[in-house]
Amino acid sequence: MMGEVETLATLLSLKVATVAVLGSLPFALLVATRLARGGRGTLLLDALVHLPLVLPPVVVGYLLLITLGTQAPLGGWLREVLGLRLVFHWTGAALAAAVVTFPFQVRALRLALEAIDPGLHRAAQSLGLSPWARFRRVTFPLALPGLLAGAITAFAAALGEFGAIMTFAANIPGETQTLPLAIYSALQTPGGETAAGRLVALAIALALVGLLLGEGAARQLRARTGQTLGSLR
Amino acid sequence: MTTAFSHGRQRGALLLLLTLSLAAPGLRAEGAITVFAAASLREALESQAAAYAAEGHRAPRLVFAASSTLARQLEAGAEAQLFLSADERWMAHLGAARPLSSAPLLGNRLALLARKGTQPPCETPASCLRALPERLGEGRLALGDPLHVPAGRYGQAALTYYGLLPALKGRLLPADSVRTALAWVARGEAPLGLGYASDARVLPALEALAIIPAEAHPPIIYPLGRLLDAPQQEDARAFEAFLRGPRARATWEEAGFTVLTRAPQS
Repeated sequence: MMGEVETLATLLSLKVATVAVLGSLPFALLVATRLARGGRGTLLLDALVHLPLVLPPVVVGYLLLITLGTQAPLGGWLREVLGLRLVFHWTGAALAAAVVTFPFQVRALRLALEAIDPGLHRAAQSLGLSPWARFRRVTFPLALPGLLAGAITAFAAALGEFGAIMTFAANIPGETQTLPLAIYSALQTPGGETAAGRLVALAIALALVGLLLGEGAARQLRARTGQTLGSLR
Repeated sequence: MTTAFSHGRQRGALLLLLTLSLAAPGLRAEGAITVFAAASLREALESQAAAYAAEGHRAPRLVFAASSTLARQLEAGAEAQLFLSADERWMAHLGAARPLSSAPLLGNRLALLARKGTQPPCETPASCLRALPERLGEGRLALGDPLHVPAGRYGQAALTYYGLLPALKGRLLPADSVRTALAWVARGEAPLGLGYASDARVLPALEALAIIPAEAHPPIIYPLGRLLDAPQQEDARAFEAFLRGPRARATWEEAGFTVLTRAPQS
């Protein structure tokens, strides 16, 4: 049966990953749109976006700490003016996870956006659709499989984030102790192997479900958008 | 032609890299012994190792982390000759898994630490501890994770002794070692931390607001253990003798530890 630590860590992991993915989704969409359009500065922006993917997560956590810690100007301002606490707070864990998994979302979205036939945009434009209507009725539905695949991959990866959360938000049970951090703590504790084993099984199950869901959703959507496109033709 | 040449060069470079990476384990300071030591010993043990090397010995390789982390790694077969734990429980834990000869080496005191100049001084340790909830304000009290880190266990014992645990529920900041906890304090992210008196001595950013009365927690004892199934017992014994010997004493005391002299027991 699940103990208190496991339940807390699992629920917190789900909360942190959900907020991380949904919170960064609009930004990912903006950045992916910009990247798919190409032009000056695309290469640099692309490199910047992918940085968290190749940087050690502990570096990401440290950078967050020195920019958004309560002692940093920006972090102090957020806390004083907006009352936003990030360090040692679950929102900080979500932010760390969001930064580290941001590239997954952008990559998938960019690929989906680039695959859209530019002819469709021109056709929609010639039919008099406003930019917003074009986005809503052409771009968004066609990018949806990529969006979903990216979001679910990012979600699964966010569940597993360790270094950045440990460094920026610490390992506080019930507050920032997500599954991987709970596993780490259990492994340090005498007689913690059974608890660690349960947590490990949970982590594997969650990751597997996430990946399967992502793939399944992407397949279904691909089939469906294929149909709508077919009916358009 | 050029492509063939550059391919050949690439292959050569790859081969060189491969050879180097295979040779790398051999480059690992041949003959040096490895010492696993509690995070709080870093500065003091580094000085000891440097002094030992200055006498013409091979400098030991030092690995620092929470005693719990190290005991777990050693239990799993990590290669080291000596283990310096910040409590006797983790030494006993390791002793149940591997043959070990250990005896107390150092003593220490628990302390309430803050970044220099950020907290008003304490009238008495007890009054200061009782005022902890107010002193912390919105912040958290950083300490080693009481589940496994020795400093956290001593710290939790002291908080329990003063009946502070209920008031501090949800206001603790457990860290993976005492030094991680104190790094949060030094950075100003946590206003106060529980660490050792020796930490205040060697970490220039911090000051000890209060030395916690010794009756509030189990005695803080650092045993030094030698792993009897490790190779190079001669070298290990020599460094152990140095650490327990008269030449090491001043360095330990200067770093804020007390030297406990008791005969080793297997």
